[in-house]
Amino acid sequence: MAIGKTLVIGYGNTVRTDDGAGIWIAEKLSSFQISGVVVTTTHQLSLDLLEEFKSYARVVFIDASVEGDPVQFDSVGKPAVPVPPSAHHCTPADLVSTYSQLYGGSIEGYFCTVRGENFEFGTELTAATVQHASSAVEMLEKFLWG
Amino acid sequence: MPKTITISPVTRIEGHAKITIQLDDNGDVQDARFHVNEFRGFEKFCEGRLLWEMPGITSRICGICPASHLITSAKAGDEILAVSIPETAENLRRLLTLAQWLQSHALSFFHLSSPDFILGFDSDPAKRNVFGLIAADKELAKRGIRLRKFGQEIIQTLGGRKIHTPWAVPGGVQDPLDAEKRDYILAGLPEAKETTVLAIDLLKKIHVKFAKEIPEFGNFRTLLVGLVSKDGGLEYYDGNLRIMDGNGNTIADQLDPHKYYDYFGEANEPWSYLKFPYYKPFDYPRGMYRVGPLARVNICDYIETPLAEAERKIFKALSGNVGVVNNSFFYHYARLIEILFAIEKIELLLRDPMTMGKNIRAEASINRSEGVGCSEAPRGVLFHQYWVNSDGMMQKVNLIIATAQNNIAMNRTVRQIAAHFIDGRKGKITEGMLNRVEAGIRCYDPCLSCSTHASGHMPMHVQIVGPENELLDEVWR
Repeated sequence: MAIGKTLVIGYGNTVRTDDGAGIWIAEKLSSFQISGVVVTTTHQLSLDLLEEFKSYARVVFIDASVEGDPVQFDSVGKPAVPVPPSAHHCTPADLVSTYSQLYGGSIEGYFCTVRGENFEFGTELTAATVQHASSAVEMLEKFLWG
Repeated sequence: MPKTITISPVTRIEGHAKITIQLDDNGDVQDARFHVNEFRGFEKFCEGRLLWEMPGITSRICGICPASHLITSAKAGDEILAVSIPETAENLRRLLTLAQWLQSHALSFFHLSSPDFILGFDSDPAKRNVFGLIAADKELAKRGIRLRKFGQEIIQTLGGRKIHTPWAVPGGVQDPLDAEKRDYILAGLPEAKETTVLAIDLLKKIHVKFAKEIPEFGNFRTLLVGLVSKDGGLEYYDGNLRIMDGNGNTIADQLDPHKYYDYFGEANEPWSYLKFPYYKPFDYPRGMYRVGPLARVNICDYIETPLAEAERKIFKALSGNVGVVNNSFFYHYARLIEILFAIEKIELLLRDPMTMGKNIRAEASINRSEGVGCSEAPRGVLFHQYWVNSDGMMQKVNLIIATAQNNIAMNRTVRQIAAHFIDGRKGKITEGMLNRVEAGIRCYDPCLSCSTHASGHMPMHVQIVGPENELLDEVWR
């Protein structure tokens, strides 16, 4: 079965060192110009993105994490907390779940996280995070080519 | 035994704060305070930075209203360069300011406040948010999300990104607007207008639904402060200051905003990081004033666009014989009127050939050692004042943020609502009572610098504390 169009969302804060890893990865993936894949970046996830989802069959979120494995990739499950705390800051699970609720359709959600080492002020990723992020790029490129 | 109730954090506002309510021995509300417990220090760490960096740096104060800081900072820069910016640049900055109003006001009404109105103040707090709104009224929720998104898209179209664009600079802006982008924005205006008109109709029904409660939502006389045009019209980018009292009398008019420090002082209280600006001739705290939509729509003589002007007249009629709408609940109505104005005015600006010009920046070096920028942010009038050396390096920075200017009034609103809705003698203080206290704060849509994000769950935490600071009771939601 053909895979529908995919939206890739890299997010984070590029002036908080490794918090920019999601955007770093998204920009690398964008340069590959993978057919059927649209890449976007944002500071944080918000409900505004739901309108974008209508044009896609699946969405891949990419973010930095403060803990966990160096690279993690999984499907998006149900929200851990049933009701998100803030209207302008959402998790991938919040968005995927709310999309179904609001528009009635479903969208496949995937979430890739890369563990960061340093979240202090700075515009460059640390060497360790560049390594993890590069692994994530390689893995995601294969995934997106299908 | 006296008790203190603490609401921390206050939810559905931009930033982090808490409310304490002090009950006396009889269970009556003795005092209530709105505490802002985050500290940023922007004024201090901007020292030593270059003037040209300031718009980009100060826009980082906030993730919701960065464009307002950007514009106001650029205007302070214009003063220091001693330039008059090209007309095209001014039109483009005006567009950005209006887009900022649109997206921020839409966020306030649809995402943050309407859940109280649609679902009820006493509804399940776990559902009383924008996601509960989605479950209750999908069409309204979709429209609200699209309206805010549209405002963000205008900012992105002009400045390259939705948040923290560095597009405005001392002397003008960085990029002109092309026809394709103009037409893209124009195409989105009809739906935005339709949604806003629907929201105003809905809010009028809400006024009826909550008619008994509304009179307790920050209903008192204060001064009202904002910018007006030279002939008294609603202003958002330029103009001069008008100060009106709670009886509708203009007590000062066409004040030069560059001399704001002559009119306003700043008091401090040990229990909050948010300053307490006041009108100097009346001293602190009697010099309490309100800024933002309620003030702006009250003080202006007219709004230049037809639909917004028609609504302004209906709004003013709410004041009865007083001449001023003093109730803070009507911030919501004024906010929607301003969205309507923003949409109408954006269209006028986009159809002005001057907006499409290519002359967008006046170049100059440092010509003054000090400059003040002023504009109307969504939440009220905003001032940036900079002092620089001959290289343009910041020696001192003063920022008067709109939210702070409402601080005295927000505290009084909290006290009024708490005194009316909370009766400790009945033994049980309900969550719905506390939510009304929070909703009073949400009328002002305070922006406590949301670029300081909380991660994870932000619960409502209510503590009842005795006179010796002992914890008597505690509720989480």
